[in-house]
Amino acid sequence: MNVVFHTAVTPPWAAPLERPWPLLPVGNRPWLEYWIEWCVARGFTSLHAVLGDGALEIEHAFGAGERWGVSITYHFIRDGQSPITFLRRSPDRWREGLLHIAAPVFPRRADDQPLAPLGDATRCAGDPRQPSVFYSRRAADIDAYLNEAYCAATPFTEAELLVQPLDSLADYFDLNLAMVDGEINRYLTPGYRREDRAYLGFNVVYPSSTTISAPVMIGNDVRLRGLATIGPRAILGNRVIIDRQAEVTDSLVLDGTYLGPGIELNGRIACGRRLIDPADGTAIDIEDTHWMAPLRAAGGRGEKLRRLGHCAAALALWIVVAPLAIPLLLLGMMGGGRFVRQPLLGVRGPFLPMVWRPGRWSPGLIERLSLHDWPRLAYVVRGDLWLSGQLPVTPDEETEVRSWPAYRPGLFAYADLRPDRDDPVLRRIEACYYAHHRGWGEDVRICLFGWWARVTGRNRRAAEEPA
Amino acid sequence: MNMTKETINGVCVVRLEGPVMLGDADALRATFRRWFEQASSPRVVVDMEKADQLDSAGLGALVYAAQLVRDRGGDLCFACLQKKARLVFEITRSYKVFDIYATVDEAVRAQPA
Repeated sequence: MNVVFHTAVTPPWAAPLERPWPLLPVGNRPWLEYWIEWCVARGFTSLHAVLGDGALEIEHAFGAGERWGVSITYHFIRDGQSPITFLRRSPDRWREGLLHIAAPVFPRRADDQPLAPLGDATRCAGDPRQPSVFYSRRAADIDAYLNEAYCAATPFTEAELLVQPLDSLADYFDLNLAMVDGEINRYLTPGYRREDRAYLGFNVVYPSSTTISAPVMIGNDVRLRGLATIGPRAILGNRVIIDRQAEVTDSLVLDGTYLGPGIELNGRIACGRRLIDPADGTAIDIEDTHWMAPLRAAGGRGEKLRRLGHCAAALALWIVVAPLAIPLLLLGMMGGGRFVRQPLLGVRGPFLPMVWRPGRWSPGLIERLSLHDWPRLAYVVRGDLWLSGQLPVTPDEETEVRSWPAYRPGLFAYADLRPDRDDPVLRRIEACYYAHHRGWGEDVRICLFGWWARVTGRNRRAAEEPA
Repeated sequence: MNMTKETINGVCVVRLEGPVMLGDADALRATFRRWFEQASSPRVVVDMEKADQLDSAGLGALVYAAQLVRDRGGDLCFACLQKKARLVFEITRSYKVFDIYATVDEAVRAQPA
């Protein structure tokens, strides 16, 4: 069964939101993600996305589909060409089975019961001559569909697929509010559902004077300032800052938006500096950046500054420690120690750093004082590692690492504080913890405590103690 | 931005036309000062029907005008707010501070005799 998504056309009502429809957030998740998960639940694994505007962003967001265990292939068509035009290029390819999502519709679920099997009947949603969704396993019906001729398609039943056409910003907004009101639970596996209807992402920082009233959905890397009021029925995307005394109720704040002090948002969509009334689609661009403003993309200036800080600290350490490290490492090598190359997954991908293997007569002081990491400071300067962060993993574990909220491989890591450095569960917990607490203070803390644990041998002593 | 003034039933109706933004804020302040600095208990309705854009500087100038009028024992309210200006009034909570009417007639009638 081949699934083809036609993403090349953005509905006119979505223009103010300035992103292709597959990436429009619905309940803080991209729209297309719901379709992919629907396909996964059906066992459909061969997915094709026909791209137009925003092709790069879509490819970047969904990749090759490895997150869902499916294969996503990307295709292009020229502006103005109809969805069927693409299918006609290679009609034989679809004859074994075709699910064609030709228009931006949402795969809504009436309840959280398992989906009913689709069977062999040819189904469609919308106008049978130009359906928004077409499904068939019959070659004759598929040929008729490709030739835009009539085929005996019947509508999907509610248990099979409840197609929700989104024809306006109001529909889109209502769908989002329905999600925050609890409908999202129908789309989540039980472990991810929240009975209190308060979904908070990673790295959400707010003082005690902030009021958060469920139901709310708050994305990752969000900052809420003092006396801000969020909810009820508020959805904040990723990288959002809500300044002091601002109020957000019955509203949708898209990724990368700043709301200034005292701003009140009620029944509106905020997207960067654009304020939208979903009822009639009126959009105004607020020129005052102290009221509303777009925020920089992730990995912008703050990340560069942090990288610079780590590089500078590593360079300083490299120079300061050199007079002690060089003679001791030479001594260690004479005692049988050596550096070997070991593949690790760095910041920019797999690389081959040097790792110290102590010899029989190598002074233990080398590892206690972390002098074996002295040559590896060069990798921090070069940008392959951070000075502090998480324990670097091997390239084989890349798939596992992708599911972590953050991966910042560092010379010093939480793992230095404990004996069982390679415990996979603890590594995952640390990844979550680091995603929440990452900052200058935390980085310094990891360095100091990690170094001290090595000096005192606390981690090794614990390992040697009998259980 | 253009500003005109007329009196209806003893109420001064100030009509704003065009964007009320940073470049117009000083002129708006100066005009209000010129018109109302010497007035006693002025009752003012600001007709925003043709004011299509409003930013923080423009809103600041309108707040200044309201303060000027209120300091002299009068009152200032708004009429015919267009959608975009209404959104600005809404997110800045200015609607809690000012009386806003749908039409100029309604605003004039609401003024105390």
